[in-house]
Amino acid sequence: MAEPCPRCGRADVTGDRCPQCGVAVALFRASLDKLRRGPAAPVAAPAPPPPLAPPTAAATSRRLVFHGSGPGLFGIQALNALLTLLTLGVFYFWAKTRVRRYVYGETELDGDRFGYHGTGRELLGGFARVAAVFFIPIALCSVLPEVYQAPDEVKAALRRLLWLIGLLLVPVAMVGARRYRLSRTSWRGIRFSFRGGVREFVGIFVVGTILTSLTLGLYYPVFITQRQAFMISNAYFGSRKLDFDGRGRDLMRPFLVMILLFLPTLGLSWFWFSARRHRYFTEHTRFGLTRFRSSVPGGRLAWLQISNVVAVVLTLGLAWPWTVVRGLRFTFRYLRLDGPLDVADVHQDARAASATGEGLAGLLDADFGVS
Amino acid sequence: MTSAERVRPLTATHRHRLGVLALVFAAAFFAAAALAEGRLLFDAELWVQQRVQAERSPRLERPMRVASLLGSGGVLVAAAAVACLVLWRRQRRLTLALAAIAATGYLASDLAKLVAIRQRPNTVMWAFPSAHTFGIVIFLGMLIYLLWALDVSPGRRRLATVAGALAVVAVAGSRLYLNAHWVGDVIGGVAGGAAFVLAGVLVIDRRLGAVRAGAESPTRRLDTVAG
Repeated sequence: MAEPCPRCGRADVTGDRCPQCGVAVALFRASLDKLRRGPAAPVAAPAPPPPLAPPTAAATSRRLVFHGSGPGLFGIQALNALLTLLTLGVFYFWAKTRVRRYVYGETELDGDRFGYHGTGRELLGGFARVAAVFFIPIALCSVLPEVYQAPDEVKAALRRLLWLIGLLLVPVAMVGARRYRLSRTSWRGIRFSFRGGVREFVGIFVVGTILTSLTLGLYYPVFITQRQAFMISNAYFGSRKLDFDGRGRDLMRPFLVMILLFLPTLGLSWFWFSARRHRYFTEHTRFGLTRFRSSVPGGRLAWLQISNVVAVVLTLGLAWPWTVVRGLRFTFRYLRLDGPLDVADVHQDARAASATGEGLAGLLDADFGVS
Repeated sequence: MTSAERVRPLTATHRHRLGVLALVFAAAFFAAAALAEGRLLFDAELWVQQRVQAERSPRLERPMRVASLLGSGGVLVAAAAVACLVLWRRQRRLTLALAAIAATGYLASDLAKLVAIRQRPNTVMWAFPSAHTFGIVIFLGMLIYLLWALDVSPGRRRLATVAGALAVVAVAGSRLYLNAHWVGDVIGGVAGGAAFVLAGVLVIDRRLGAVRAGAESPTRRLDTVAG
């Protein structure tokens, strides 16, 4: 019977070896199994393909653990900065990849670390494509009318056109970046993927932006929930989908309270809303029978974010690695996965993704919070 | 420097050869790092990992863990400390140099990890280079240099070199066997450790040479006579 390759995901592997990546399938499965069971366990012949993880019958709670440290990330950043300077910026793409590899590789769930498989060359290629297709034409559209002293009507029309293009490019970049990053992320050798359509998200984004403007911001909770629903419910781990069942109107009351208290609390009410939103989004995310939970408190989130900004400003950016590590540890401390994490029937179902969207996100200098 | 502290100096030819070798090993280390970072030989590394893991058996677990322990920081630092204690009475400067190499080697093996960011086969971070291999190669290099500099008989030197080389192979093999490293990490550890210890030997020889020259300078001799 044909089975998918445990390494590259090719669907129709019938023999001992995968015709695509050449891996010895049984051996690869056995080594994965050994890796999970640890060296002390008795070693059996690599016979029947084991499940990816023993199914857990009872509902249990799991936590993500971040093993990284500030000094470790600082060392990587210091070398990255040096090499980026020496190569006049070209190393930037490799630097970005190195940081992601470190952060993903130090994140553990249920005894196994995540993996990041993107490369600097992909990011450079994505950036070059985006620069050629979007950035240069847009830059020309902005500069040429000034150089040739075009009439004011033409300049105004071009400005409107550029604004419209920008409005369309942001969602394209968000989807592209998410598609790329998830396709390069793995856990237990299984790749994540993102299968949402760009057109659908452009619709959500454009309509949401316009309605948020027209309602003076009141549509914002609905808009961000729709965005989150799109980003989560189109994400897959191998062959299994993540689900999101949140509704925008549930966040309307906390949002209105935040607006009412914004001035009296000198803006601090934003952090309470931010924590509420985070908890709501997390609690309405599911993976099979596993439900995510978060108990991030608003006060601590405010302290974390304010102190991180102060630390980065006071140290002229040198504290950045520590703030990243602190932020991740904070998020994971309040995050848990409830319910059985049965991934035995999840199989490799990787999807190809180019780095163009990632390049566009980089060019627009926005992370969009979709990492 | 007293007569008891005299150590055999490197000749110009020795220095030249060791310098070239250090550069070759350093180049090999950075090449291995580039290959590891870019996953350029990952298929070959995976092939080796699969073959090695397929041979794992409960009988070999303990010997491999013991072999791996030989290259651990704790054991190497302890061994270097014992060597320093033995040498301290007769060779103070050489002992201090040995201690400096051990300390900087420990630091260097940590800093070398920043060169290539990748996960081990067991998914834990900081795969490249293998610090165990890096450390044992430095220890072996220093041992060979010490025996040569102290004019130990060629037979004993040969014996120590063979034993040291076996220790390096055992440590490197155990790291692969225990699924702690890819083969590229181990190669990087050998190359990096060798580059470091060769550079260290050259620095020690130069420093001891400067001390010797100072001890034998006319001013120093006059000072000695006057004293």
